[in-house]
Amino acid sequence: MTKERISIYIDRNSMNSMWSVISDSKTKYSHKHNMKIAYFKKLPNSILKLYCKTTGKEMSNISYNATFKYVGFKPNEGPAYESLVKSSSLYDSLYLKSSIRSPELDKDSNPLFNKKGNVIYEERQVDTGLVCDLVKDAFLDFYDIAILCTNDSDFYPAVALVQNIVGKKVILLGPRDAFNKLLRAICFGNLFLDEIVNVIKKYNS
Amino acid sequence: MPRHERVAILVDHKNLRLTLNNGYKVFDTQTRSMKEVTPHEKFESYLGINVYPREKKLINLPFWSSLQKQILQQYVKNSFTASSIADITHMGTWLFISQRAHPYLEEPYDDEEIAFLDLMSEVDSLFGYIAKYSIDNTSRANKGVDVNLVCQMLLGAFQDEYDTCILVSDDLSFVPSVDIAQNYRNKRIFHAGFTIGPLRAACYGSIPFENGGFQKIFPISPT
Repeated sequence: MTKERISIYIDRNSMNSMWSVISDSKTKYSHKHNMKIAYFKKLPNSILKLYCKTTGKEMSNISYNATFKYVGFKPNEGPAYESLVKSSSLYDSLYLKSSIRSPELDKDSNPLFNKKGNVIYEERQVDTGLVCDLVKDAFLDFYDIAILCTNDSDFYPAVALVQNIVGKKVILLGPRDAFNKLLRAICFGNLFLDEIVNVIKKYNS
Repeated sequence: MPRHERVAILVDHKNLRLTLNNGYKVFDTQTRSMKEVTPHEKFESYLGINVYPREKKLINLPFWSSLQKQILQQYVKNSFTASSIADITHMGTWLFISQRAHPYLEEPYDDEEIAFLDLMSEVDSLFGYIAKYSIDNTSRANKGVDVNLVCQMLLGAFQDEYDTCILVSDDLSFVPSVDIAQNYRNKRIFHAGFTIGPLRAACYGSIPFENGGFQKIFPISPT
């Protein structure tokens, strides 16, 4: 029996909001976690363990390809970006795909502000970068199962393409109570992020 | 005899409409700053692009009817792989539109939206566009449209359905997909748009709309 090849695709922006849904005030997800190497090492491993636990498979029957993490940075986040690049270079099969976000402009090219008075930054090449790699890797037969960590219904057409035309499986990872309904309906299966919240708790201190 | 070149056109409707309504910007070399260019005051009066009410919607139809033809002719002029319009086979024009969530889930459509959807259905039935709707639950511009377009572009590239793809959009988020289609499957992507930047740099060639290019391509007088 051939091993199932698994790739993990993480959309960081929606990952942040997903953590904030499931974690209480003590274990609140903060920007620090992105910089901790231990967290990076732990997260893919715990996702794979969760997958084996829910499907009843053994770890020896799956082969782990890589984790792709898609990050959009604001222009003023230089130090955070540097530390993120450093930590990702220390860990073998983590690929960081970053793009710089630009402020959203109105008709007269003034930046838009939200209710708190902060500038709204628009995502550029984060969604589409993830989609491109997901579809490309499916067509080039790099994985059998893709674990997708997102909560954004934008990915609906990409998941439909990968599953119905190429014939790969996509499994959604998200919080138990706040899954995206559209994505959950079309994905092959789902994993609950709540069960690996302990990973965060350990490295929070 | 040269091989027939298969050409597909992908139109990001929202981006095109916003650019035509709001104007666009170019880098002025003399003042070293971004300069706003709206040659016909606003394209809205020129083409009637964003005019929703029913009485004026016929103004839009000539634009949509000439869009495919003019872009293909312009492509033949700009590319050196096809020498005449007989050398290319038009595979289709995909029109990516964002639409609000279905009426029974949210508030019902108002008259403007109904008129717009009527117009779009007329456009795709009369002129042979392939309209693809993506549902927009929020007010965020371009929601879901970019991913829809990327999927179509990559599907065509990997299943070998076109040789050249003309991308009518100025959105920078298509840069990764352009790279993948060109590098992994040797496709040619042409950029048809108003802005010079990373997207045009990533593409194989371009059909420039700025500096009066759009008016040459679409010589429709305002009515």
